[in-house]
Amino acid sequence: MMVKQKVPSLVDLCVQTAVDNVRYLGDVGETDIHLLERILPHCTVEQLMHIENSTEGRDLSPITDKLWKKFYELQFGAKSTNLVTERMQQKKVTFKWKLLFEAKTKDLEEAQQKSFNRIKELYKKEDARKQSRQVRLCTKVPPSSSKRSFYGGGPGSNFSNSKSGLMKKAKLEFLNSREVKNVAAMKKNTLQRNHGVSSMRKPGGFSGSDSASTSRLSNPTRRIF
Amino acid sequence: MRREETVKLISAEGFEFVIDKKAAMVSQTIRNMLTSPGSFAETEHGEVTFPEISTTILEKICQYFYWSLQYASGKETEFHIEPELSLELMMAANYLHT
Repeated sequence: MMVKQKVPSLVDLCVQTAVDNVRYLGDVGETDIHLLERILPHCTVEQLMHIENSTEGRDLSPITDKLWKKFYELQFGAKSTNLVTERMQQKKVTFKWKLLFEAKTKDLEEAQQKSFNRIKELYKKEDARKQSRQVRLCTKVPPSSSKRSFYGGGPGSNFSNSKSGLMKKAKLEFLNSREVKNVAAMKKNTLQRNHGVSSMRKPGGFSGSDSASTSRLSNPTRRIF
Repeated sequence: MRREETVKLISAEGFEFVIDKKAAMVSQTIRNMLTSPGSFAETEHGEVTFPEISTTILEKICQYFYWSLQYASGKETEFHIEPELSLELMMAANYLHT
């Protein structure tokens, strides 16, 4: 007689295999409750959701309700869980924890989406504001600087810059006055004389020293103001 | 192998597996079926029919029986189970108390 060692039962081996492969489980069909109770606690939220949705025609909540409560607590905290439990007791209603979990998750997602959108809007606004304050190239050319000349020196004066009509009139009067006209005339004469002397030479006396004669003759053409 | 020491296990599809009685007895259910007086209808002539167990599963169960005997005698090896069979096999094993 051999000493019988503890042989693992086929059931146990199968449970182990199922637990190892829980991510591939879908429709669990008519699997025994006490077997499911050994396997399903090893599921994640997504896996449990998938199994319950795949197992049509059978309500798994006798097994899964406590699992969903555990998930709810893990996700949303003990405080929230207790609050919900209290409320249900007060109002004498019972909701399946799977439903509560799904509802709360949806609420949270919606709230998050809202705040994301709000932040996006704020960034957009800030961007637009910055854009509007940017330095931009423009095609307008700034007006050229005006050089004001009061003593223009005769007929060269430009009095179109003057904004005031009065100043314009005053300038006109001045430019047309005797003194300015005299100065301008003398300037003209000087130029002509200078040219004239160099070509006109009196025979005998003045030949040879052109420069001397010009300098002597140019003396009287001093400006008088 | 003497005829008396074997049993025939028949699957839902009608497949017949002839195995040692000793192996079959690993299943508590089968043991009860074969040993109790005023026997079950399924155990006529040392044959047991399982209308709910498919051929693939029944084959795996027979393999387990032999593995179990081997394990008990000291040769501890691994019994591999294909994941896709695991649930069905589990339910059959549960039914067979094995």
